[in-house]
Amino acid sequence: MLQKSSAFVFWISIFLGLPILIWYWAIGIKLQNESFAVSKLKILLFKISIIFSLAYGIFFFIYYMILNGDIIMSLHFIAMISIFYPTVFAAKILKSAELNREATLSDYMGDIFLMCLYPLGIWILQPRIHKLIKKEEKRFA
Amino acid sequence: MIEKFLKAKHWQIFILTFGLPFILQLILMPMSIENNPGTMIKYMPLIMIVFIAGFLGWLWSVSIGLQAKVPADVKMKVLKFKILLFIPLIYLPILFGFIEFLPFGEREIGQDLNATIKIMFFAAIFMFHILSMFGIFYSLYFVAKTFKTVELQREVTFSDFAGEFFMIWFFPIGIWVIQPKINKMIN
Repeated sequence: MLQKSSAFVFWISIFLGLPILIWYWAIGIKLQNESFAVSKLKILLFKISIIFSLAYGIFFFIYYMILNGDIIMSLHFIAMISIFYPTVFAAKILKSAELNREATLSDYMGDIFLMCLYPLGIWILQPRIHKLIKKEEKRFA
Repeated sequence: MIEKFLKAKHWQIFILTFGLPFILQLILMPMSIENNPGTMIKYMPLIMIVFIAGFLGWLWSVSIGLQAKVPADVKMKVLKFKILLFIPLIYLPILFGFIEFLPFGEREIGQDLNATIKIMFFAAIFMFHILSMFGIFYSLYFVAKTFKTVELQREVTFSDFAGEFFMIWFFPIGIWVIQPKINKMIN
């Protein structure tokens, strides 16, 4: 997902919605480097929230749209939070990888907005990710 | 005014642009439900003026106040910004001042006006509304650009300051990050 062009990520996430979570996953897991240690608990929380959002997205489609079920408030509320947390985590990982140190909230606040508003943000974030990957490759070559 | 806005703490700006209108709205809600919904429309200009004064004043102060720190080889379109910021600044108070007297709906005022005048009113409002929307968006863009140019001391592209653009757009959240950085730039 990270090597793909911006247009690919844009169109696939515009039409299907859920692939954007896989994009967050790829940023959050693959762009971690030795600049700072991410606590294992946070990584676990990040993974759980993405898996939950994905599962809830599919459940949502089947249960509400096909079976016309009543809304389950607690599940919906957890899904709201767990769809927001990955954006914050991914923004922090991306910014830290760029700065080569642990980024503070004021460093990556703008990136959170770009992650949340992904139809616009992809076009700005994806070229930055490409640049980052190229830099990493050069370092190891 | 420019100095004051630039040196203000982030929570002061937050209270001026978000807290104060919020509290005014909280007071107005029960008032308009108890009496009549017209109260809301009557006092709405008050809320809007507080908000407009704070928000547009901040935009103006940041982009004009920081121009001195922009490197000499970078050209900024200051005049275009000034003109475009003044469109909403003049239009919005006028709209909110006269919103009660607009000849639309089933009220007594303006019922005897003919259709041509009503259409002219509508066209004018439509045009100025779109224009002031564009003006505000351009101001957000310009302020973000100025801010980033001063921070990086070089020519910037949109991808450099997209984050700042959204932070200024979502003003009540972004101000907590932007304003401390501006305070630091000034010193």
